[in-house]
Amino acid sequence: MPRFLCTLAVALACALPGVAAAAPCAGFADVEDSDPFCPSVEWMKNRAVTTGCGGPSYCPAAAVSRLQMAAFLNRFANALTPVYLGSNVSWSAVNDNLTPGVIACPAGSYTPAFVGRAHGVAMISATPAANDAVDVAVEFAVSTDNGVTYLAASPRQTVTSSGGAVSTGRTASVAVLMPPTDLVPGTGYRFALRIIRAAASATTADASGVCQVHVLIENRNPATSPLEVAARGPG
Amino acid sequence: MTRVHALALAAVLGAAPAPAAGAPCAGFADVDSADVFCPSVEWMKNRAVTTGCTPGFYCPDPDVSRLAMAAFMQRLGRTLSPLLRYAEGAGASLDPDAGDVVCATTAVAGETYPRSASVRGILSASVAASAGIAVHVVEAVDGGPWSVRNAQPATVGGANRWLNVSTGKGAVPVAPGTATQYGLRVTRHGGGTANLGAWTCQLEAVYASRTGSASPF
Repeated sequence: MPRFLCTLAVALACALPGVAAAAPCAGFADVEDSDPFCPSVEWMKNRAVTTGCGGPSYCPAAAVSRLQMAAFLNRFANALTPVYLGSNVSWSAVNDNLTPGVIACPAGSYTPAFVGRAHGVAMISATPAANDAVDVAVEFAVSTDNGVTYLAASPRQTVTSSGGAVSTGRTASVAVLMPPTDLVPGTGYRFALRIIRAAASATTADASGVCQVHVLIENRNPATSPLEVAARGPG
Repeated sequence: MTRVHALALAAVLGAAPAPAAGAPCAGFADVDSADVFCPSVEWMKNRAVTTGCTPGFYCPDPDVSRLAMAAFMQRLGRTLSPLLRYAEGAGASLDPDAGDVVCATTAVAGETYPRSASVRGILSASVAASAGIAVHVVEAVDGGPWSVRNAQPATVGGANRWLNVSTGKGAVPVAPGTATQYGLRVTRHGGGTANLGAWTCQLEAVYASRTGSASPF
């Protein structure tokens, strides 16, 4: 029976879960993989907006009650609401805190449940301590699986370099953007600023200063995603 | 017979839904422009969340099936998800007197939704002698000329220094149907004649959904 007849004329009979003839869509046996609405059903399932109507069924022809709509809107808003990670740290001139490779301002940890995309900005201002001179260059860094190893996530931005170091009492400031980065659901991410200055001009690397990291994680737009492609597989 | 049943029967029999009495809402003949829900229907249509139930009709009374709701949710999600454009660049030299545009993004094209763009960019450049630069956010629409979109943050550096400029422009309205792209233009500012040495730049443009029931569309 064509679905529109099902929807409009015989809603009661069609409200019971059925079984589609072809491959299931997003694991739902009553929606075909080839159905033009399948990407939409898949989009909802991958963001936990729908969990189906019971068992491996979606009940595509059943009407949406106002009570169900409340749940759908609530979950939809959860999936669409951006997640913000940030850090703001001040430090005094101790402990070689501008040594190249130092991770500054780590902005928490986040494990996305849905497909998401992160982007952001980081900033640092540094004032060398007495008798010091430092170079300041930075990059955005990200670690995966909540590991301690941070990978470069952006090109470097430089405000001074070897031979043009900031001297005692002068402040250098530099900002860097993190390119939009697709996040894999279930993976733990950390975001931070990494000092990658050239050290040639300084015998020590002490500086006071402040750094900030701001990361925004938003719903990723396309209908297809790694998770969604996987969901199209057998079963 | 209720209107729902009448519409259902009409659909089964292949007849068109009945037009409303007044002026059509958002081009839908079966919703009156005076209907209190018309702004919401118009909001959905302007963002391609609904295309109607058949050409020219919205079918305001039938229940929403779970399948149709999936389409509404996905389209709404697409509308509300920001679009991102990012560019980065680097070079060995740059002449500030040439007015070059660097870190130009690809355009967001073909969007029918009202959006607004927020842009931020960073440029670092080395100088061998005293020099100053200014950096503008510039915009090009439909492949046209670049036009300035913000004031000019500037910086001056001495010998063997690096210049570092951060700039941006918030909430630039993007007209539906236009292909809009952004970049950074580097110009001379604050004296000096030296060219820039090694440089890097980054630019990010975030196109967010513009709210409100009224829109250019």
